[in-house]
Amino acid sequence: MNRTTHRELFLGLFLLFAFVAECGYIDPGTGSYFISILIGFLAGGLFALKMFWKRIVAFLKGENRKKVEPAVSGAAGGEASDHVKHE
Amino acid sequence: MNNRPLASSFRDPSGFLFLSDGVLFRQVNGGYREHYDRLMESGLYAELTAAGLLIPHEPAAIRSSDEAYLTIRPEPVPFISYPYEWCFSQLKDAALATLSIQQAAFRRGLVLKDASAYNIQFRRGRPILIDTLSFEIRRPGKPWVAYRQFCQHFLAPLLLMSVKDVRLSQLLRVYIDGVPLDLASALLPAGSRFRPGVLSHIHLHAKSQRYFADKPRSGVKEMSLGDLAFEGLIDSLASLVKKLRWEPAGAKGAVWADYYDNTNYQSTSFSHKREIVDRMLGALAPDRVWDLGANTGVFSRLAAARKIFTVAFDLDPSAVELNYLACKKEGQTDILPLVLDLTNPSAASGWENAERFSFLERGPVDTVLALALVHHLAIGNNLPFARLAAFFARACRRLIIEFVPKDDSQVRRMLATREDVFGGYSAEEFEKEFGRSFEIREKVPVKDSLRTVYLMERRT
Repeated sequence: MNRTTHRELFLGLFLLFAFVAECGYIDPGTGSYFISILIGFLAGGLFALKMFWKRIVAFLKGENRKKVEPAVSGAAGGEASDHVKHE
Repeated sequence: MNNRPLASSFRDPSGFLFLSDGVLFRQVNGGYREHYDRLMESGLYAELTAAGLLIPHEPAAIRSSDEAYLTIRPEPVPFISYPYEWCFSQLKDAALATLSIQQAAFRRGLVLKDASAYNIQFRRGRPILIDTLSFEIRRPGKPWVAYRQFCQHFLAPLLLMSVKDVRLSQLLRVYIDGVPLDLASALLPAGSRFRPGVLSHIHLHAKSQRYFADKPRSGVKEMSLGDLAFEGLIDSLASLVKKLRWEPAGAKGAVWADYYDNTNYQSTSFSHKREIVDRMLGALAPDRVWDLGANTGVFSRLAAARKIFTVAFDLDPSAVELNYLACKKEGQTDILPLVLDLTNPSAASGWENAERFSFLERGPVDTVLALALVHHLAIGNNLPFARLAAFFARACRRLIIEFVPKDDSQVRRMLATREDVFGGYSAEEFEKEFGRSFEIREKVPVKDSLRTVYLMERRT
């Protein structure tokens, strides 16, 4: 899921403009919806670059590719998220 | 079929919590079936419970209403706490746990449909999601519906605590759905606009909310967010939260672990007080303890060392922060440090004043520790002994309490700058007033001091 390839980058940009229906019990708020899409568009690009850079560093260090899969780390002192970092 | 939902469990049509014979159950409604089944079958439930990020549950044979798909019995949490009672690092850890859960869900084709700080509790020292029904199957392209809630419940208060004043966490007591972003934007310093994460997630977010407040939703509603953009959004929030810092008082310029060394905690009288309290705890063997005025939790640790779950309350956010960080470092899982002002404890709040429990509604507890506390309440806050005794009688069954007389240097210092209007402040009056509600079982003078530790039991 987390393998960020060029194909996924373009797919992500394509999906940005796809049309979907919504559901959920809390009001996401129109303004929040809009800004999250805008931030997501920019952050997605940065995220792709970040992953790309991590892979280069890992390659140069000779590390296993799976070890640098992206994840939120640091929850509860790093312990909580570390458990869900790698599948 | 007559088990009514809890007063706090009504917003989400996916199900609700109810009590039956004192046991907590969660009904999963028929409409949520597809999402619940995906949570269980995708491996997400197993992954998150193994990681200690989602409360485990067992299936239960009980039903509360005809809408039920099934009923589950979640593992109980020893004490329900609220975000306005957490210190900075507790709120930060809760935020990061929420984002970790979101990431794990995303990888399995699900998403958090809400990001309420009230869905997180502390169990065994770590934040854990207690709402099993917070997940839904992700529709490709759908933006994160809980984004606004995450920013209001976590990001805005954390930023305000970090860069403005840690006491602004108390805004969460007033705003039950998190700090409004226009308010956070107005309170944050102008310089915060130079931080891209703060600019986008708070300032521009608030502007966007204001802009769309009176505009039709069509158009925006139909826009979508690709997978990569979705991951980028979560990663951006996580990066911002991880960078937030707050330095508690007492930790500046030195490793905070030295905090105890800077106090007079090594004195003979202090050691003797520890011995007395430890012996009393050993004799009482309570199942739960509340340490009121716990400071950094020195005495809470005596209870925790006996595997007694202890909630360590203190007014000072720095003391609570130091206690929480120390518990994390020590791997201490039997102490829950919380911020609480005893003269204005957390009130019942929310719809019909019933969504969030008051402090006293979460008791009574077996045993309360009230050490070096009474003089602060009686002299520092003008609370008569009779009112104090009545309060403790509501809070606990057994009480280990220290009396600090007027001749004690601490009390003399408190009275140095004010008129002494406390004619009735004496050990005799203290015993007389507390004696109305409690039976005094033991009374032990603390060596090399004027102080006395009492063991009391509430009269039935």
